[in-house]
Amino acid sequence: MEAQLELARRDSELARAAATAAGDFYAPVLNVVADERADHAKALSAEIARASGATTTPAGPPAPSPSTAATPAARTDVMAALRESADSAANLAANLSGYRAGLLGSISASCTASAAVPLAMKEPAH
Amino acid sequence: MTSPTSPTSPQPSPTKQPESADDKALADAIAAEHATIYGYGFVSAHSMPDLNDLVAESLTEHRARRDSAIQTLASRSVAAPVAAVGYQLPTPVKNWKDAAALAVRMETDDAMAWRAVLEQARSSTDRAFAVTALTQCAVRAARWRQVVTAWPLTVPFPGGSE
Repeated sequence: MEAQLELARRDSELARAAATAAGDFYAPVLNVVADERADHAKALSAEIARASGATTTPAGPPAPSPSTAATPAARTDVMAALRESADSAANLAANLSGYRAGLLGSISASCTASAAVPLAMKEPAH
Repeated sequence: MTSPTSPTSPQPSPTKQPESADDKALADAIAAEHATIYGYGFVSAHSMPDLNDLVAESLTEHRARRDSAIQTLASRSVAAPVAAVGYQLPTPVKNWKDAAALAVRMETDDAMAWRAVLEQARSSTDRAFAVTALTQCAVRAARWRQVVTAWPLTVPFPGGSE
């Protein structure tokens, strides 16, 4: 579950960075991906906290990523990251049960759908 | 010559109604798939020709999934629900846009049914099948949202209420 949380945070930051560098067509798409992966991170954190019985205060916003990247992530990098995350969540879902299996299945489905439809859209020619 | 009481062809073993939570969830998903297959008839009738491929692919996917799920229940000697004689459409379908909106709704409903299967399943094989089903419904829903120009095209938790 912790690994899934890391993947969700990684993808969210990657998509946000890619959105900043993207043009008008893909930026909104990448921002939706960033938001949805942040939602996944939130749900995973809540489930991890619930299972551990801890009443930990929710983590603050993620530390700003070092701005050392010379070339910002491209849309295709985000697609590849989502496909990897989708596979990872699907595999874990098959081996867990109950709510956790359901949550990871929905997360996997979300990642695949984002990679397959909005991110795969062709920018209309002007 | 065999008598009618001793048939030569294999006969189905007696089936029972779904009782366990996992079988009930699977039966519910099969019922949802029956309704979707029926509904895609309306979608097909009202869709523009350039959507023929999307309609045909969607329908093929749902039929294959329903048939696999029926097989799974049959292998446990559990009766699968049969298709209803007719279904009440949730909203009237008068044009291609209504049809596409119905497709979004059906894919969304099916995703919920498959998430329930996923949560109730007792084997990794069943869970893997449910994850695939949930994923395919999420992808189809996104494609149909593209048709109706809804935004965003995706939801963070397909089939879930998080």
